[in-house]
Amino acid sequence: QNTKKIVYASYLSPQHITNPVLTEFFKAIEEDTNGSLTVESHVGGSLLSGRDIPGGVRDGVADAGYFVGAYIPSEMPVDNYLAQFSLWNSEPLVMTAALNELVLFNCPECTEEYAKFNTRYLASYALTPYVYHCRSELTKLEDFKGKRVRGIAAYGDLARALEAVPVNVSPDEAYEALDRGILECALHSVAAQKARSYGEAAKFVILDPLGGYLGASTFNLRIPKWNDLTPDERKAITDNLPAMVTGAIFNYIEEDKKIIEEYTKTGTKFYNADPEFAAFVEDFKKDYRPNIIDKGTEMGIKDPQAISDELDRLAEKWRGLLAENGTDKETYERLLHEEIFSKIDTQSPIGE
Amino acid sequence: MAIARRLAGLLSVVITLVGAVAMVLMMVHIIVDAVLRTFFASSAPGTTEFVSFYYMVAVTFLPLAYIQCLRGHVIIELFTGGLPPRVVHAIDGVVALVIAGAAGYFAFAAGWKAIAMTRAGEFVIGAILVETWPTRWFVVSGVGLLAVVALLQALDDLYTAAGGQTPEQAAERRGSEARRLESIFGLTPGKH
Amino acid sequence: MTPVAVGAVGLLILLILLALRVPIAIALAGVSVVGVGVIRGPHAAFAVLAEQPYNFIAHWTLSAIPMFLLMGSIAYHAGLTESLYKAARLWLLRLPGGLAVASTMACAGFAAASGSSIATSAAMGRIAIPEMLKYRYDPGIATGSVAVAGTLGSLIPPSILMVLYAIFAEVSVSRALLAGILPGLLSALMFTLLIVARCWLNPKLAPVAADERVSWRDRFSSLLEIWPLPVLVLAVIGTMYSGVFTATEAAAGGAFMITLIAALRRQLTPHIFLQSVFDALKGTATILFIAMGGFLLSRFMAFSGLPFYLSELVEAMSVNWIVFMLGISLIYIVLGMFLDSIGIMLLTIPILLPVMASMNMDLIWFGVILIKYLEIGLVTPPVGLNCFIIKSVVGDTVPLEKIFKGVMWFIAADLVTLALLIAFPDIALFIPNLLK
Ligand code: NA
Ligand code: NA
Repeated sequence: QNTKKIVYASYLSPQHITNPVLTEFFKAIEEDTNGSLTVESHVGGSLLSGRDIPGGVRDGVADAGYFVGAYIPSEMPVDNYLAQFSLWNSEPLVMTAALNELVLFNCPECTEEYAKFNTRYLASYALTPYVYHCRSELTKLEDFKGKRVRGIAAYGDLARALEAVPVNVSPDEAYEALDRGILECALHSVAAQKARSYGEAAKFVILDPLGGYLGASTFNLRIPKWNDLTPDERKAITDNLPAMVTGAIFNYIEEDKKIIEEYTKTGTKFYNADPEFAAFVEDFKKDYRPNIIDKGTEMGIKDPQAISDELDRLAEKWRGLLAENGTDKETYERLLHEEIFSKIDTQSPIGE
Repeated sequence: MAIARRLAGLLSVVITLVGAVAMVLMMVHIIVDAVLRTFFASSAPGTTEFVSFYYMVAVTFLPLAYIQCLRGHVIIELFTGGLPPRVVHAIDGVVALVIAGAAGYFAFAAGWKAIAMTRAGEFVIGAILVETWPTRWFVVSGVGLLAVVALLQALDDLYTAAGGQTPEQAAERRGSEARRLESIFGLTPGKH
Repeated sequence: MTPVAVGAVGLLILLILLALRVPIAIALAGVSVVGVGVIRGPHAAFAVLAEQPYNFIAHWTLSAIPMFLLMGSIAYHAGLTESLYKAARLWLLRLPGGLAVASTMACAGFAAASGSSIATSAAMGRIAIPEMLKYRYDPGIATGSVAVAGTLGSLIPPSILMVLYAIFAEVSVSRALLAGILPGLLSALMFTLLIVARCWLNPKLAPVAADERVSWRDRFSSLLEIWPLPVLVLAVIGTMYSGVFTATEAAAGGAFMITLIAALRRQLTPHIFLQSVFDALKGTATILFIAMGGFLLSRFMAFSGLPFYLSELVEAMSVNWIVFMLGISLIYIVLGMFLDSIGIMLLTIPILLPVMASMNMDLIWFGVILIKYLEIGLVTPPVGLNCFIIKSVVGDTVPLEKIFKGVMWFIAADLVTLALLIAFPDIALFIPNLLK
């Protein structure tokens, strides 16, 4: 029997909560193709680092990969432009769906960008919101003055607006920087209390959401590989995408809840800052929004307004769909299938 | 030949000097950033990016050719210790050809990438935007020059192995060339 | 040929190239690129070479290596190491191998200021080895002790490798770091015992003028001159723990502070500074070029699936605890001969971690054992980065083979330490459990 193999590269650490979901996804593909298609998965950056993955997939070092455009902003401007909208992502379920629909069908510049990497975008998720993990209890706006907080790109601007000092510490050193007070606050999703041990150094988590990252796409396949597959094999992939995406995003949401419960017991305080903080963040976002279009133009996006409008429209559409149908796991997965992934053309190859 | 060797040596020294400047800047940049951060509620924006993409790339790749001039890249000599000098020269000549080929291919690959990144105006975004494409050329120049130096050494070694000069003559000249190169930096030859 | 076979053949060819005097960096990179080409095609091999070496080197945490090399170079060229070793000699005259013992202890102390093993060896190599050689210590003992004691850098906190493991295994970073302290000190103690025993049995290794009379007055007056380096180490540790520098920045802090100290003592001329910079530059490029080759070899190994294959063999042994630990030891020692620390960790942990969990092994304890194995890998031939950094520091005065030979004894001591750590997990877990 002629088996085909997809070599998949990700840099997520081996214990990352997305990995079990991916393993299931790969297993399901194998079962649905009766073993004619298998996936060899390399996690933890053992095959390609975050910076190396997109180029590696383009050149056939791997066949598929977890892309994060932030590592190579000059090569993935559209992805980085989308990441600018992270600040507005406070509804991971809505944004996950909207993002997938946008990149797959409603954003020619996105398709073009992936085509430059000889790659077919297949699925992504919008992460749960970033929050500040701090060493002391910051509640009022003036508490932030002069404090060193981790933040780059838009979050650097937010820190500056708060009159805090944005500091760029390498992820490998963030825990120790927090522990010794080089950082007053780190910026990450709630889960970092455990996954990155922030809970041991930063016992105050401000739950006011600062937006979840929109620039990570989970599964992207090299076009020659896609073309090499039979329509049935392609369908085995796309049919399993809704479950994978649903599993991944629900995992994130549940993990955040679990961590809040677990770490409240070990003495971390999860709280909302004074209302003036949330109001300030809202104002900042409002002032920031018009800049995004200009930034997009600077980044070389041809029609940044169109992408922005389309993202808004799709977010509105999914807000409505979820309000109407419910947000339980089964419904979400079904909607993803009906509205998005079943519409991927699996019959014909893509022009290389 | 002698002129080519001299020229390659001189160029190696020049780009190593750039590496030396990067070494000192790395220290200064990190210190300034930490001091600003600790005592002045400020920072030197882009420190992480400059250290990673400029200074580290410079201090790693730019001195490679100079080190090759001094035959300073680490090798294991255990198995060839007892061989006659001419045989060792023959082996070294072939090895130097291998180095030249490998480094040449590496420089070619790096150059291909450097051209692409120069055209794209490669940058990274941390606290500020830092253009990184120029440092792609550190790799090309460092490794490319390494290939040239190794090629010249290969010709020299093979000439010795073929009987064109005695091993003693070769060693003598090689020594004086190394001394001249090292003395440029005030280093005491062979002491490091 | 299956990819696993390509991986095995690749390692064999690597050994041959190394024996034929091909520079280690070139041999590693060459075999890896060709190997990737055989498994994934020439286009992929070209892409790996075009992209990955640059991305590997352009890395913030690596900057500790050039900065600590610079610190060590300035200390040496400005003459700050001389008085320290003179004093150490006067005080430790009756202790067999006294200076090697002192160097080992200094490495343990410096490990508290440095987050990486290679950086620890880089700094201490420049400071300690020339002085030991000056007092006619056996080159094997002089270089071996520092190459091996440098590995304490990843065991005694801070430790970049330990933090990486903790994040990888999703265990507590602070507990993992604390767990390294006693095993680090135990390792230092074993090295010390070994040095004393060897030098006592064979006094030629560390000559002492037995009839030399040293007055207490000489001893105490020698102390007046030694302050710069102890002050430096304390300053580096102090600035780090008080939150001025991160573990990586502390290296630049050390280089800067030694420059200040040497300048204040009027021991720093522009010439000496320039000399130190070039010295450090040569060491940096030499070692990182090799590290880059080692990194590419890890990539090649990932494609070949050889480490996965080995890990799965060990997984099959998990029915019996002792057999399993022996299996683990074996693969880490074999992989450690060739691959770099982070590479080995990336390649084996995804498979072995679940096995550990299923056998109810403490993941903090396993982290310590793992780091210990990775550290042994840093000094075993043919690819031992700590030995290479020492080689780049000592230049032509000591052949590489001599360094590897000198290290062998210490590896034996390390294996005893490992047996103790495995038999008595509390050595690692005592301190972190205190704080639970
Ligand atoms: Na350390
Ligand atoms: Na080794």
